[in-house]
Amino acid sequence: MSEACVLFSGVQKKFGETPALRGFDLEVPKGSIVGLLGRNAAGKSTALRCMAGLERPDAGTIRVLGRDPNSFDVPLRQRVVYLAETGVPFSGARVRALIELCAPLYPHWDFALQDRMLAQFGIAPDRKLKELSLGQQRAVGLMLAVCPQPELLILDEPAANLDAVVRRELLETVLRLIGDGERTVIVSSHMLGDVERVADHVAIMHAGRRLLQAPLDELKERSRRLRFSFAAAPPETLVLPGLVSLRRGARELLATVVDYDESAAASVAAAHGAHVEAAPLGLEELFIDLVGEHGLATRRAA
Amino acid sequence: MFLPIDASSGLPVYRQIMEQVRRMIVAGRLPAGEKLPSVRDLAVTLGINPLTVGKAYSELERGGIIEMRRGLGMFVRESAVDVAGGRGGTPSGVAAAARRLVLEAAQAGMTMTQTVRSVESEWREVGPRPASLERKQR
Repeated sequence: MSEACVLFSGVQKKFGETPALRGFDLEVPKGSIVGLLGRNAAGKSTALRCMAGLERPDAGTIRVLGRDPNSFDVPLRQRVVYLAETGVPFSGARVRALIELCAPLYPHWDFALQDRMLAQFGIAPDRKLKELSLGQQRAVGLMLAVCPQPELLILDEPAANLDAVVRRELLETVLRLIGDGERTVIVSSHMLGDVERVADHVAIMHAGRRLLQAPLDELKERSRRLRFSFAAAPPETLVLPGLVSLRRGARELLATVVDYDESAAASVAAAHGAHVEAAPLGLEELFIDLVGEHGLATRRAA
Repeated sequence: MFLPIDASSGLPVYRQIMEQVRRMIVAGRLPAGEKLPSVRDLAVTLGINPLTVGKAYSELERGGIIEMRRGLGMFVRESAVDVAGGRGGTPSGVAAAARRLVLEAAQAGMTMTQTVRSVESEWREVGPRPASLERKQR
């Protein structure tokens, strides 16, 4: 794996008495697109704000481009862009004024990309941000985020509440930006279908911790839903490598594993006199199994 | 080049691309010497990560189906039809799985016809759809 662009190690962050991050770890390889997934209140936004240097962690280490983001100097700041979930502030400002505010701050501002995006989304620069449609407002935010040509682009729910067509157009913008292997994108999203299209890595967090991080292809190749059928009532539990969720029926056990080993599953089945079938599963099903009510991690955290 | 991609499938997207390029080659829709779209173009067309396209291409290249011509891009190899059509023989994993299937079926007292039928029904359930459904005119 190539060098890390972002590294979190044992990061803790509390707001008052409420812990948001409880020993969060993350490694983002340079040149990757990482999808950061988790349910509401899992700590995604806090993790991204820490990454951008907007929050100071209570404990643990954060490295972004090799440095602590809380001590970034101006040249480092120019290499990282963060787009908040709430989008661009100054909703009363005209688009042109926002560009005039941002562009001079960055040495490699891409004016051609800026004009292309304004045209693509039909945005007149003399309009005020709040006069634009939601999709256009998000596009302005993304335009301000990609035109600096950052090495690291941090996007917090960039496509929330948008229709599928606009989401796809925004995704394509991000895809055009990368692809040279030099730029890294980390994006949090509830839109698992979007993440599946663009991300090559996924990190799934729950209750302030990382449950799992893997290349998406590897995750799909190694995850399975296993159905064990028994002649009588099934046992309480099974010992399987990479077991993340277990559901018990009258005559069967449904197990989801992220480290599928055919011979291990077969010998577990044989030991219980059971029959086992394995089926692949997509990211959404895996996510639900991991952090839903049958997820083992959810039960431990509760 | 248009490839229907199901990103939410349990089958990794790079494997879907590989499989479809193979099928297009076997069906004659991608003749030998044909140039493939660049990684970036195909990624944007399909709305997927360029690394995924790159991975599919490099796996196809390793499998002897396409080749990189320096400065020109990726091309379908002359021998691609034979390789993609599996005329080089059954992959070893598939042969081993077939042997296990035959042994299990025989133990269960099934006949060869019954076993082949069960494979066919599984294929209809979870296997890739035949190319004829994608494009009827050939």
